[in-house]
Amino acid sequence: MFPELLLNSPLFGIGLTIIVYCICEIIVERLELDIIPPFVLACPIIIGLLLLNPQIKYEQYAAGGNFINFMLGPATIALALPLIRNRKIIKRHAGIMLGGITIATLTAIISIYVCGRLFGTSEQVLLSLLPKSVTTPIAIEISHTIGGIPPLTAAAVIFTGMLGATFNHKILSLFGIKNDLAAGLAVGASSHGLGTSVCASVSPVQLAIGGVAIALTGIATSILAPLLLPLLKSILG
Amino acid sequence: MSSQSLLHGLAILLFLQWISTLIISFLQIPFPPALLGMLLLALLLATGVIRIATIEDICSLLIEKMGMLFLPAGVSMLLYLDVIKAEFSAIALTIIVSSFAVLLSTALFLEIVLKRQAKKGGKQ
Repeated sequence: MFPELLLNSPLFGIGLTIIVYCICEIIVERLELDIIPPFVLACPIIIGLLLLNPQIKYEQYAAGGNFINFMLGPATIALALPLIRNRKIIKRHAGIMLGGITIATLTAIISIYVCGRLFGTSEQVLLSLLPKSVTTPIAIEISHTIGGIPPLTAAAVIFTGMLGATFNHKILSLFGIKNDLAAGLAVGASSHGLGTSVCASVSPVQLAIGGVAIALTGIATSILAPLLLPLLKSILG
Repeated sequence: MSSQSLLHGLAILLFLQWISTLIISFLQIPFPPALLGMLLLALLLATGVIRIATIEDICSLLIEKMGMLFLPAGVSMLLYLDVIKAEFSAIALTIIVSSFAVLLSTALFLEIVLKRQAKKGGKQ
């Protein structure tokens, strides 16, 4: 299906990512499936394509995929734009937002530890799941520090983001939460950039607050996770 | 959206990431360079060193299509299918329960505090 010439060039990974994503965008638009973000459709399609064509090595996809992945850096920096546009709201509510982030980070660490023990994950998998609500680069860093498996953490981060991108806003409206500040902060703190990207189509204020939440949750988790871990271990075993 | 402003904006973003990466490696702290870059850009925009118009187009484009940028990281899941398969239900349940616990606890906390503030503000 794919000639070697194509597979051996970054063109393959870059092309596959962008083409599949665009096709999924069109499908979502045409079928009016606005409940499903294109990513959620595109990710299993690419994984499926690679699994169904065993002659393609993962490294061949990654050679181009790394270029796309690299752009996450500039995209994270770009979140400064909604931040600046809404700085008045952010300044006015700085205290509450810090409180919210502290609650989010504590809930995340404790609930993952308790659930992991309850549902019986192995020790290393549990440690890999711990930073899952944080944006990928920070999550990998934290996973490394506390003794998890960084690529497994990346997978957990993406799964969390997919889950959040699909269900966050439905759950929030189910509980009658309409306030942009509450929704944006909760979405950013629980499902990082992937979940927050959905806020772009809801409201610019929500997107800005989401961006702040991503940054603050990243910082809070990298401080709190290594501190809380020994405590949780001694209490819960 | 003009192609010139897209390119100029991208140049600024890449330059900021460049600087951030150097600062982080110099300070030897475990902090993601992109987050420092975000804070730097916010500072430069707030002080007017960089005009919003210069970076507006590229920033909007990158944010709108951020989902696509996560695809290669998502596909790398492929490498750990064995571990994921072996503990799939435990992993999935942990992630689902804790994600929604975080979402709701944070959102409800803010709703309650904001409503209280609004009431107080109304009385004054």
